[in-house]
Amino acid sequence: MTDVNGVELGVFIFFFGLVTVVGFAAARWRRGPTLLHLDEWGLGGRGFGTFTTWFLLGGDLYTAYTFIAVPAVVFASGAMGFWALPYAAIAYPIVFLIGPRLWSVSHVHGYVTTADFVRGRFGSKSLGLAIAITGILAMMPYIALQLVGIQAVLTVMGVKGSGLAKDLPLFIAFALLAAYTYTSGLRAPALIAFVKDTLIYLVIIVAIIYIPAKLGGWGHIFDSAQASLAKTNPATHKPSGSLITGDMTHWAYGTLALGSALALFIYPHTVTGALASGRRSVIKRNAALLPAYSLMLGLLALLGYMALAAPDVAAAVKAAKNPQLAVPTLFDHVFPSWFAGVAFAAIGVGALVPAAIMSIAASNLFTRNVYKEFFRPGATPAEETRVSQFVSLLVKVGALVFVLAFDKTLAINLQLLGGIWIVQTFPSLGFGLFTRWFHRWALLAGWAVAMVYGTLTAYNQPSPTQKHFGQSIANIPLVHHTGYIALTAFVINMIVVLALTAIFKATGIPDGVDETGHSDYFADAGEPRVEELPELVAE
Amino acid sequence: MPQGDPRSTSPLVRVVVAVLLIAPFAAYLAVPTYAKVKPRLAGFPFFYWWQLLWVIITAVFIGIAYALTRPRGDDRRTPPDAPSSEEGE
Repeated sequence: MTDVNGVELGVFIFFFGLVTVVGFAAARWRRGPTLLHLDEWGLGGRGFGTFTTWFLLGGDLYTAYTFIAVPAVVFASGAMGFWALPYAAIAYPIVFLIGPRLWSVSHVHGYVTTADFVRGRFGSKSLGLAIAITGILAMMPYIALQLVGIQAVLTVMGVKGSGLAKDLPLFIAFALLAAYTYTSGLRAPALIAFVKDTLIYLVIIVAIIYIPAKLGGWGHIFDSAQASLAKTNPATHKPSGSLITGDMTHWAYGTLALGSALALFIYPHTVTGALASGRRSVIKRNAALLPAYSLMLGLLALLGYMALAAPDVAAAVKAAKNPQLAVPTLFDHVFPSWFAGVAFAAIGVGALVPAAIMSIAASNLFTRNVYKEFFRPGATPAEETRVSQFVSLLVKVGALVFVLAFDKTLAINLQLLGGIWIVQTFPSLGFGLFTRWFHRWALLAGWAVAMVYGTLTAYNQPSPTQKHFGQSIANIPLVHHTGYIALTAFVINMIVVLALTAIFKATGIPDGVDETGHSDYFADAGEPRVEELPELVAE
Repeated sequence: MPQGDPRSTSPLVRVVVAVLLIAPFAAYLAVPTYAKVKPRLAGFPFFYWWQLLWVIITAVFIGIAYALTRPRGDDRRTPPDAPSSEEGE
């Protein structure tokens, strides 16, 4: 991979351009007063059906994280990286429980963001602000992960330089993303999701049939991966990993899965996708259908082992000291150039679209729940759009800072860091959908304590290449095992919330007023009080 | 507070739904029970095929939970007590 591979790059640019142009052209061509005019998702502007929601949420959830970051961990450390599979499974019972309630209450009260709901539920602007800030903050490393994914693909295709141009692929990725979001809003990404997912499914199916056949079968892949993982890593003088989790890593494995599962459905971008569905039952049905993607995630994770089992691929990735290159390098070596180009285009678009949706979700939080709420209550729609676009650019610059400043040895740490923050909104948001018992100030205090604890603990974790933010797992106090910081912070959060709620209630400190009613959590489309939320897909 | 969906169903069904939704957590979080290589299936160590299998089981369980709790008969309920629109703080 010393030179630019012309065929790969050409095919990549062709498909990338095609998907983009088709997406934007279609979004503009059928632009109508009710916004949602295309086929199934039109239906009188009622929002997305089961099928479209499946694509939209699937596109949101399965990103560069799935194609680049998870296989990279599996490549580097073996079984430990496979926790992403249990995560992607146990997230869905949670979606099944909280998704429909969030849909109903949002559609009764016109909530567009998670912060809207929390503010209304607990009658606290400050708590709403805390939720908004956390959402914006947590989106940045997640977007950063997408940039790293695009960067990996460009690097393997030979788009790279030295010196000042070292970060060239990254800046190309950033520029693409900025152009994508600035011009499109949410409609183009939603349309592109169809094309993109079709492309990705094609690539995955070919990859998991063709590559094992070429490498001598699954049994051989696991065996050579095991042999390779058992070799001593010169940096740590320990084996770099193992084929199954060892006694010391069970806790880390379980807590990473559970912590990430709590995070999945309260990220601003997934909430946007879920609220865009037309009926509450669409979300319930999707909770059963989305695990089809998780199966793909599991098989994709195993691409990390395939990269280990192909000696020339493993050597190239190790020489580059960047496990994120595992999947792109594998494709580069195993596939004919033209198909590698198709695969890279799929990964590239698969990272860009969610990154665009994420930065729009983050900027909506800012505009609605910070700017309008606290600075300019009377802002005109045009002003809101301007602020939104500007903030979405700022969010992307923030993401760029994360990429440049953080340890990229394992990019998954970026997403895990976002998880540490967003999970701290679960008591207000996830539990808040079921109970009103918590006191608003207790929730705020629990959030603050957990945010400080989580951030400081993550800051203090070194890795072989970096002194701070080296990893997202740490010793769990009292338990004396290593676990995901997000979950430890969440437990601390809940202890504070429960204790302070009891104290505040006993001392009679006034609580906020709940503007929602019990039946709001079960309302469905067709009831007169259920509103449509056109803001969700507007620009 | 958790009175459940007013349209839903008998306590028995609710218990069944709870078990269906909790089972995947129990299966996946008991990490030591599946952290082993054998028995292999089609070359996959137990650790991997067991967890992949549970993705399918999770999806089926959620599907059953959906079927058990879906509103039947009249889809439109009369909207009960209107929510208050007071805002605090």
